[in-house]
Amino acid sequence: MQKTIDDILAESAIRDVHIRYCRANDRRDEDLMRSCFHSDAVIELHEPLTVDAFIDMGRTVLSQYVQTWHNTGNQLVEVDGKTAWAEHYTTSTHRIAAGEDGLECDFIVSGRYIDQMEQRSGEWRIAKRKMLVDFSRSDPAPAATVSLGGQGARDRSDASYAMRLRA
Amino acid sequence: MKKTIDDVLAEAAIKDIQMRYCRACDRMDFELLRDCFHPDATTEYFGTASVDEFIAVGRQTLPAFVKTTHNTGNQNVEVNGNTAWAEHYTVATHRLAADDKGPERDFITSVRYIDRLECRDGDWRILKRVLILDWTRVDPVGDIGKEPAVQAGQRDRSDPSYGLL
Repeated sequence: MQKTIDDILAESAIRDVHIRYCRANDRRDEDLMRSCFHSDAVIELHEPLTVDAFIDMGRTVLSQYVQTWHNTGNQLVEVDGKTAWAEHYTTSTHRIAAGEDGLECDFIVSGRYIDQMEQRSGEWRIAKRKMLVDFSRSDPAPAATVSLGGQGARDRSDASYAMRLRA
Repeated sequence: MKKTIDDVLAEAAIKDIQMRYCRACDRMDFELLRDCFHPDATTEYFGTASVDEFIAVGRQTLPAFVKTTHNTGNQNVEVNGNTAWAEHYTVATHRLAADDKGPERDFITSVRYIDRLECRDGDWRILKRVLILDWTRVDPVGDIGKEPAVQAGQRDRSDPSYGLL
């Protein structure tokens, strides 16, 4: 079936939602996280959670890591009117602080997010999300010393916020 | 806010710039690298640098690696008229030859490029780029037995991708 401009606009908005979800995790930006979901959305990582419960859980889980990085490759989107299905492949790297052996460790999860999206009042958001883990691994992360670039922050002090055009 | 076709066209052009930037680094194509930036752009990687200064650093640092791949995942773009903000997640893998510090290994950097872009005369380019280094790791290459029987890439215009342009 031939795509229309409207399909492309919807797909683009839907892909953006997941990219914002990744940023929301990595910058621990709960407002941004909330904006990915309709208020009555259900999020199922282990068990079905409301948006509030999911954000509470995220606050606890994310604080256990030194750093997280949710990086997305494949984004398959199928739009049907005001509803859509989407599948996103995301490799999430969770940096764990050095243990007794003195080595930091990366907990790497290759997951897929499966979404039911709905467009309400012109806005695409997630109505239902399931996360599936395809594989995970833990790799020791030998330190490298580099003097390159600025350091990221996991809050609004991250340099990316000051450069934004929108509040 | 509902997207328009103009938003999507601008976002597509902006996302392309990052793809060209990655290709420029990996093929050490400094003309292509220059094309990503407006002439008065600044970069903040090691302090603030002009485009010329930035390219001079690239010419110096990239040949130190056996090869590099800059592979981009997330691309977050927000367009506002003729200006835009973008955040790109890129895993840059730098292959290091065996030396007195160790055997052949990959220096892997997970970086974010934060951009301010401007559209001038219909042409989107970077006006300011800040590099954020989120994490790094160094992994031994390991012995895979034999090289895969697939053509190797080149770090200059002899790369087969140029022949198909």
